[in-house]
Amino acid sequence: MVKRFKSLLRFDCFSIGTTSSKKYFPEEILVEILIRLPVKSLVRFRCVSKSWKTLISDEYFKAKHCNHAKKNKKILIARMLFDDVGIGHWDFSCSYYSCCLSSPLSSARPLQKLGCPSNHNGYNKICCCDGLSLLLCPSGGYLLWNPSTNESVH
Amino acid sequence: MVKLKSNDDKEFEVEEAAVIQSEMIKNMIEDGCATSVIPLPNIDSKTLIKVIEYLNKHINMGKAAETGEEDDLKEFDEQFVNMGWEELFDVIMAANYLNIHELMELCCQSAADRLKNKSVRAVREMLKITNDLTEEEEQEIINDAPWAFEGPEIDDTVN
Repeated sequence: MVKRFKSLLRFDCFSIGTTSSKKYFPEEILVEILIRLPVKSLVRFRCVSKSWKTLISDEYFKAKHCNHAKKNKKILIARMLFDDVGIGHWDFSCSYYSCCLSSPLSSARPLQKLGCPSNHNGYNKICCCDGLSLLLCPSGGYLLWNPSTNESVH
Repeated sequence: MVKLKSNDDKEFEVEEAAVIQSEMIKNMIEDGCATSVIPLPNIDSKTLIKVIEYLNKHINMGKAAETGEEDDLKEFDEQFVNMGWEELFDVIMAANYLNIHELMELCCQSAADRLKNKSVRAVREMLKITNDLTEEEEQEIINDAPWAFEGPEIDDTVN
């Protein structure tokens, strides 16, 4: 892909190894760092400045972020947990596939706890693609759910 | 042996097997441009020492898996990134300039881990960014996804 980001002037300044106290990452390096952040951090960091907002909202950045998560086998873990009275609740979290292989699922420490779509009990997952989940609602119909942002559409 | 010179005129000798982990220097050697000292005008000696330490440790990375030294290398990496934010910044810039893929990955991940839970204010301070959003624009972003600004993990401290 040849598409370049729109120039974000703030990060064009290169001042490594000088005594200057103003050190900015060039945009290509900033992108390398930001693609490693969880979605929650990125949504928050749109508030850092105008150029960060533009960068994080950029389609090319989103694709890069998604590819990085895939390459590192970041996965969605759905577990049914039962409360004291035996009612099952879905518990969603996000982790690396390798972490789940090296330790039993019950003890694997999730990277990130995720929220659930409201009244999620009774929903059945049908498939997942690019970080989105398609759920079958108990009342019929489908719910397309983004676990990272907890946004959903019926 | 390959000789590298930092921007404060200090020379370092590094084994070729170690230094070719830098794509940039590897290309220079292949093109026959590395016969004398290689000047590195973007890197100071303090940063270059760190980079060379990494290159020397990772010299036999391919063999590490066979000899069971993987854990040792992992431990070294963890210790290696245990440095100040400014120092990490310099190593990232150097790794990018020299094109050392593994070092770049390691340091960018460390930078991301440090930023992950930071508040917006802390990120601005750590990266020396001036906020150019108006109060209304900021509020609009917060209202759009208030959940991203809440949580016990959010850390307002710098470093």
